[in-house]
Amino acid sequence: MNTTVYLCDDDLDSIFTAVYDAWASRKGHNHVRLQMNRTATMELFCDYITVVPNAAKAESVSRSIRRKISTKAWHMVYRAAMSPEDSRADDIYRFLIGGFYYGACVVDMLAEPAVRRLQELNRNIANETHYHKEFLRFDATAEGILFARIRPKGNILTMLTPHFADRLSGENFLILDVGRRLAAVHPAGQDWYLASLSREQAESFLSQKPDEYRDLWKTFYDTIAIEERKNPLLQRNNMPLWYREFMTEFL
Amino acid sequence: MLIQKDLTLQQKLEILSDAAKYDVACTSSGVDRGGQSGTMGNTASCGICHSFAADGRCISLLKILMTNACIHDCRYCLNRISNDTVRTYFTPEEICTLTMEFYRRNYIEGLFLSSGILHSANETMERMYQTLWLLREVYGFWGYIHVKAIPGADPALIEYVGHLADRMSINLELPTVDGLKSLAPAKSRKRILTPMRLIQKGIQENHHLISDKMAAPTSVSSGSKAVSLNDTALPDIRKFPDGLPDRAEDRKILLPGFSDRQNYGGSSRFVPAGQSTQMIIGATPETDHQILSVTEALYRQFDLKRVFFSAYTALNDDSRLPAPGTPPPLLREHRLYQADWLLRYYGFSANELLSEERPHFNLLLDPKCDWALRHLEKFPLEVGRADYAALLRIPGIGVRSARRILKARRYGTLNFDMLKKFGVVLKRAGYFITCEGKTCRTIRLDEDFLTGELIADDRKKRFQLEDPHGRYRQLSFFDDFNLGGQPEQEDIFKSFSGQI
Ligand code: SF4
Repeated sequence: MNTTVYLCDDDLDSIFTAVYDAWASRKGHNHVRLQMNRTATMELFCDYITVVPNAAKAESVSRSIRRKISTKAWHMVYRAAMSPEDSRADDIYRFLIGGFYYGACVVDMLAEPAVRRLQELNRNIANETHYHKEFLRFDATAEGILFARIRPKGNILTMLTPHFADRLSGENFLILDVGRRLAAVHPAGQDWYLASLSREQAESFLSQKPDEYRDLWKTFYDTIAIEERKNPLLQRNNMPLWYREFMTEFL
Repeated sequence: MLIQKDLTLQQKLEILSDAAKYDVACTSSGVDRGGQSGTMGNTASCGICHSFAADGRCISLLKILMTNACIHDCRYCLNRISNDTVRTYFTPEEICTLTMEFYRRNYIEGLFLSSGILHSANETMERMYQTLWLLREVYGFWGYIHVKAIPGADPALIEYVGHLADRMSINLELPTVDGLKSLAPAKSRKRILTPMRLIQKGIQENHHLISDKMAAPTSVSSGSKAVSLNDTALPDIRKFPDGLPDRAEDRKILLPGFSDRQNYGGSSRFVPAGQSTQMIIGATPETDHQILSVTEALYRQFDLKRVFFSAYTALNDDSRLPAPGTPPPLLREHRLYQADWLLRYYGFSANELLSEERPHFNLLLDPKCDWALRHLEKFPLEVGRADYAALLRIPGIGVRSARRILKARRYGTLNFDMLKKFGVVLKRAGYFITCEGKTCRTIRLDEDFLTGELIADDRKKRFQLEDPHGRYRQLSFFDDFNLGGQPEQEDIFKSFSGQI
């Protein structure tokens, strides 16, 4: 029997709809596969179905995970869906097979490859989010608006922004995911929201004037290192080059 | 000593961060405090590093001195009075502005404020208090503050400061009384341990203090007026010539009146992130055993959160010290951090690791391998059955992998492939374990043989880390991120690559 491949988009609705369709097809778990539309290369002996995102189907999957497995599992699945891995939709599907079978205890079943895989995606996205809590830099505009640019591999904005909304509740700030042109917008004292920006909007943010505190920070950054202990290797291990693109101290 | 007044903020920042950088603690961990409207900042108990300097060390806090002017002449210190350097100071407003503006931009987690001794210990501590008060109360800063307590300052002042800070520290500086006597005659053991004890008590008693509401602002009249560095109106502090009143009741009334939102400590409002200290390594001839025993005593007797080690950077030309240019003993510092880690998370004691007959670590081996080699009678261990404490003592198994082993054991049997995925370093652990009765390599519990193997394994890391001039690079740490709670962020960057 040919394998049926469900092609889905990056967003949660699309991934969950794919899970729904694949499951409901009753073709058997070994005969279905989920794949990201973007990365699909066609293979022989496979039937391809392009998933049409459907909010009701997605919601039903979401509800089942919460009810039949656990809220914790739902969070794990959510974070995995935000990961940059091409295999993430299928990884989620494999995890859910075990999840719907074993229930809440599935999250601790590290002997199961599907569980370990989901954990791995979770760990990676949590690490990436954490790196951005550390290395993200705001520039203040003349009007006092804080503006940050990031280029994360995973879609981390929804996991990252609450951290800044909590500590900078009184600030107007915007975090722009440059690659996705997705922005988290936080008006002072209010709830934050996500906004998809047009190319022009995104570019207008990219061409901001430098901020007067940059030089002070660079002075501090350069001075605080101890010459006798110079160690670029250790520095690079702790702060991968990937993250430096927008960091004030390297601008 | 001439204090330069007409410097720009940038010049001051350069001088006062340069003078602060030899203090190694730059951690922002130990307290979880959510944001609050009307203030800026929160804190995360795992701590957050914001950058890594060219020396690979984490930058978490704006680490500065309030002033680099000092009346003392500690031999090892660049700010000693006998050094001919440019002296300057920050005003409280300058410190507040820098902290707030750096924090908003996510450059830092907060402030680390230390200082040279300006005129007297009391005056210095008072200035620091005023700065912190301004930062918390007027600027509304809710982020992390680490402040040095100045040995010899009035206990009341230290207590005041403790209500505004997250972490306090007093540096032990040198591990033994003799070391202190020869290099820092102005600081005695007693002068250092007294405030340390005071802070410890404050932390313990804090539960009583927070159960009652703080007294309303009391207008206090200042005893001796401090020499003002500027004329901002700041709260005066009553001086207590005899220290604090004994009864907690009386003491409470004397606390400065913080506004209600000043309950920034969450469950605890006195030094909620605990206290730490630091020792200089390699300036005096103490052994690793002495250093580690002191470390252990500090954890046990003073409830310290952290003891930091600072490899001495020889900058002063002084007959009592290593000659300028002597490389800092970074590998030794690293072994001490590994041993400290073993004390705190792995259940080891100082006397298990070292003894008077064997007072130094083998620089070629991490202290846990070293220990295992001297206790081969305890191995091999069966990972399917060993308890948590025993697992932690196996070289190549860390806190995270031990926990994963326990978890996985509940649901099935283990195999070496799984162990590897759990982060067990089989290259090391393989010599010491069996898994469901199987071994992953021929186990030969022979001390000489194993020492050779393990040193070879460790050398690869050291070679990568040794630069062409023969200086040791500081080795880096755990791949473990703050997922499991425990190891603090800064530990992770200070530990070995892989699991010790
Ligand atoms: S008291 Fe502190 S600043 Fe002054 S010389 Fe001694 S170590 Fe340096």
